[in-house]
Amino acid sequence: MRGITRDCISEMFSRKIFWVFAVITVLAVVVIILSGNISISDGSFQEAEVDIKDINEMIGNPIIRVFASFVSFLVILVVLATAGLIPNMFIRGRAEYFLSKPVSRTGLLLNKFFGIWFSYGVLVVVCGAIGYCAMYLVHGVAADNLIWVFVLNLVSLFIWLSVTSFAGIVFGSTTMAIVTAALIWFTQWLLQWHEYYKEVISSKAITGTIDVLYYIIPKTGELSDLTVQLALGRNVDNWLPLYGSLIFAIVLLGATLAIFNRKNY
Amino acid sequence: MNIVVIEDLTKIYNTGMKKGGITALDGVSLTIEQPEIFGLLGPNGAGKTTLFKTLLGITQVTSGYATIAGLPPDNPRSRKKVGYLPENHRFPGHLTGLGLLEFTGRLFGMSRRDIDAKTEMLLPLVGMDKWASTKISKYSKGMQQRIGLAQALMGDPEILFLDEPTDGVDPVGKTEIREVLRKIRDEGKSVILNSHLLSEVESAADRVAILSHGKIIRVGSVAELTSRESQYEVEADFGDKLFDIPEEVGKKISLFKDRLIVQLTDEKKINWIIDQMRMKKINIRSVKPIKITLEQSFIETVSGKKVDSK
Repeated sequence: MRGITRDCISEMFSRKIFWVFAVITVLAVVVIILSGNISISDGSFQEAEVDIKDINEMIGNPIIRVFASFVSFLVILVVLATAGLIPNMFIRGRAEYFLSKPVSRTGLLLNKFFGIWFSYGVLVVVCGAIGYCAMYLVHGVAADNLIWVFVLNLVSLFIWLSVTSFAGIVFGSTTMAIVTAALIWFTQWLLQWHEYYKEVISSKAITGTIDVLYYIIPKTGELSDLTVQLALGRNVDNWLPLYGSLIFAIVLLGATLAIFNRKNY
Repeated sequence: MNIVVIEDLTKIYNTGMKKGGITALDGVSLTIEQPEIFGLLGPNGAGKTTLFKTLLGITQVTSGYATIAGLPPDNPRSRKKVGYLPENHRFPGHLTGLGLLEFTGRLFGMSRRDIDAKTEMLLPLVGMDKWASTKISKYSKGMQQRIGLAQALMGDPEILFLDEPTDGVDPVGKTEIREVLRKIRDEGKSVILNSHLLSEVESAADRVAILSHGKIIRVGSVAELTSRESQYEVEADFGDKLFDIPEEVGKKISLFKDRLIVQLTDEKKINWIIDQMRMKKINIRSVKPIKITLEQSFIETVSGKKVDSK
C-alpha cells in the first residue's frame, strides 16, 4: 500500500469534515433515542380483522428504517466529502510529486481509491456502530440482519467512489465529480420507474433505450431499498440492484485506470 | 557513464483547438553524464519543464526515445533512483515537513529504519529540523523549497531533477542549496538544474544546454558557452608603438587607452600578437580571453544578436 492508506487516514483526521461526522452521529443518536420502537401487538387490533404479522411485515420497524437512513446519509456525506480527494491529488504541482515516485499509475490510483474507501468506510462503520449501540441500549433492537446495513452501504460507497474518481480523473475538478455523481443519482432515480414508462411512451426505440440505461446505470436507490428489506429480515428476490451496480462500478474503475494511464500532467 | 540518454525526443500536445497540436519538444537529443551538474536554460515555453516531465513519465512521449539508468520513463523502476523537485509544487498540505519525508520514503518502499535515518540526516542538511513538526501549509515559500529539496533527496537518488530550486529562497539559503548540489555531485551523482537565475546556473553547473522552441540550440561546458570565440583582451603600454594585424591573423576590434581587443582567425594566433609586442618592446601587462556571462551567452544564443561584453 506504500503508505497511501495511512496518508488517507491522516488526511481524513486533519479535515474539518471529521467533526461534521461526529456532530451528525450525535444528532442521529438523539433521533434514535426519540424514535419509537413500534411493535404491533394483538391488543392494538382486537376489533379489526387484520393479521398482525402482515402489518408488521408491511411497515417494518421504524427504528431500523431510521438507522438504515442514518448510515445511508453518512455515505452521501462521505461521497461529497471525498469527491475532491482524487482530483486534488493530481492538481498541477502535486501530480508531479506523486507521479515522479517509483509507483505505477495503476498502483497509485488504486491505493488512493481503496485508501479512501477503507478510511471513510471505517468512519461510516464507527459512526453507524455508535447509532447501533444507542438503538440497542434504548430500544433493545439488536438484529443480526442489521449487518446488511453496513455491508451494503460500504458497497454503495464503493460504487459512488468509482463515479467521483472517474469524473475526478477525466475533468480534474471536484465540482465536476460532485455534479457527475448528482447526475447519475438523478438518472437512476428516474430509471427506477422504467417499467411504467412503457405504459406512457409508445416508441419502442425510446423504451428500449430506457431499458438499456436502466441496466447500465447503478441502481443505488433500489440498493437502499434492498438494504432496508434485508435489515428488516425480509426475503429478497431481485439482487440485480446489487450486482448490476457493482459491475458498473468495476467497469468504471477500469475505464478510470485506462484514462489515467494515458493522461498527461 | 550516461545516466540519462535522450534521442530525438518529441512531445506534441493535442489541444483540440490548434490543428496538429502544440510542439513542446522537437527532436531533442541529449546525454547527461554521471557525475555532473547539468543546467537547462531556455526562455518561457521553451520546453524545459516538459522535458523533465517526459523523462519522469509524468507526460507521455509522442516519439523518440529516452532512458534513465537504462530504463524507459514509463517503467516505474526508472524513478527508483530519481529525485524531483517540481516548479510551483504543492505538497499535500495536511502533512508536516517530517510527515512529507516519511510519506515520500514509504512511496520509495523504504523501511522504517531507513526512513528514520534519512530524515535525521536530511532535515538539518536543508535547515528544516526546527520546523519538521509544522504543517507544510504553514511554510513560507523558501521553507517549502527547502523541504521540497529534502523530499527529492529522500530516495537516495542517482540523479536529481530540480526545477527552479532556489525560487523564493533567501541569499543564504541559495548558497546553502548550491553547496548541497556540489556535495551531491561530489558523491558521484548527477543533477539537472532548470533555473531562470543564470548566474546561479553559471556558478553551479558543469555543462549547460540552451533550449528554445522545443529544440536544443546549444550544449557545452560553462567555460565554452561563456568565452567569446577567439577574442582576446591585451593590456599593455602601447604608447606610439602600434602595429598592424594582417588579415590571416585577425583584426583589431577596439583599442582604447592601453586596452586592445582582437578577433583572431585562430586561438593560436595570439602567439603572433605576443611575439610582435615583444619585438617592439611593448610592456605586456595581461593577455586574457574575453569572457561573457552565461546570461549574455544565453541572450545571444536565443536572440541571435551580439551582446556587448562590457
